[in-house]
Amino acid sequence: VSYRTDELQARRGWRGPRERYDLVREGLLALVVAAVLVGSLALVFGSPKVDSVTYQSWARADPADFVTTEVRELAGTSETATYGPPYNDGTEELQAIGPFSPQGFLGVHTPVDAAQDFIIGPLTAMAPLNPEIAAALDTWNAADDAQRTAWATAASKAKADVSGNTVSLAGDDSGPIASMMTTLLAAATGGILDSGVVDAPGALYNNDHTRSLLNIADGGYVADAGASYGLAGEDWGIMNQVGNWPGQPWLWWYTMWYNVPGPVRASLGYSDLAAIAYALPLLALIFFLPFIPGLRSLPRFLRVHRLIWRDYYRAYGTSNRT
Amino acid sequence: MGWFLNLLDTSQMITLHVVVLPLTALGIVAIHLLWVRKRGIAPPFDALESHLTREEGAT
Repeated sequence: VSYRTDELQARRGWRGPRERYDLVREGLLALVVAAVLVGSLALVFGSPKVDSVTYQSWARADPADFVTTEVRELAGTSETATYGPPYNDGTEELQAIGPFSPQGFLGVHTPVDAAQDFIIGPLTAMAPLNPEIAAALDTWNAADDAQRTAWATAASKAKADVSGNTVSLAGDDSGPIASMMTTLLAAATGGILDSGVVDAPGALYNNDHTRSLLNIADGGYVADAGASYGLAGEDWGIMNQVGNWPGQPWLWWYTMWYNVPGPVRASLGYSDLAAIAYALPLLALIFFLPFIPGLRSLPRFLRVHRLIWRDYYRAYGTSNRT
Repeated sequence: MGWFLNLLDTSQMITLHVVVLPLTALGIVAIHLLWVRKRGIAPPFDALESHLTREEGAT
């Protein structure tokens, strides 16, 4: 049957039998049934609550990882510092299919300066309370770029040694960095870094955790924590909650493509653009289903309408036009 | 684009999911219901000929 015939058929008016139908009652019933279903399924399948990783929990559990990560932020070699759009001018995480790169096209719209926002800014806010950090910051700020790079490179190569809250960096001269890290570590373990000094200095109300989330994600601690809950990419982690608990099924259509091997993955890796490249054409297939010959005739074979209109067919049979 | 789409901005994501998306869904449902009221339901495609009118929708 052509689309046109179907369309004309569906447009014809109805003069057959009618029933009274209370939409509000029906809607309320559906609401109650859905609420009971959601509630009981959540009781059975709801994922356990896991405390979020904070600066504090990170710095307390693995101070050396915290210091190593923050040194990389200062040196400009971390993932965030080299990321690229939307955060900065880097290119490390810039995704493109040939010349097509929506990420690059949209540009830097959420600027993040890793060294300034994660380290220098928070330390500057704390400097009035601590003459030692004020002196270290003065040394850092007075140095030229070449000197800062030399210090940061030396600090990156050095093994960070933490005893108590004191950080020492062996190896070549790393200038004031050990002193800066000592204060930053104290601020992290004390919970000061979680208080908004990184995310929104000077703001009273803030729910934008872009900076701290990026900073914490640069460390090895949160990655290990994620892996231990089965949330790593190799475990199809983006599809599920902690452990073996199901995640958001309405996102599976998109998230599953991160894990599916194929030519797109081969060239793009586990990238968002690869997942989108798979998901979008298939989503279009569903979206335009009523216009696709063959696929649009599936209901004739699935015969779900016979179930929905069962009273009608029982009473009147069919016209046998199909 | 960060002013309206940044996954790491909690307020933005809550606003999108609690206000914008439900309102959009409600709007689509409302349009659908009004359309059904105006045009009537589509008949089953193998309904008896005598149960259909000649021309386009009527209630």
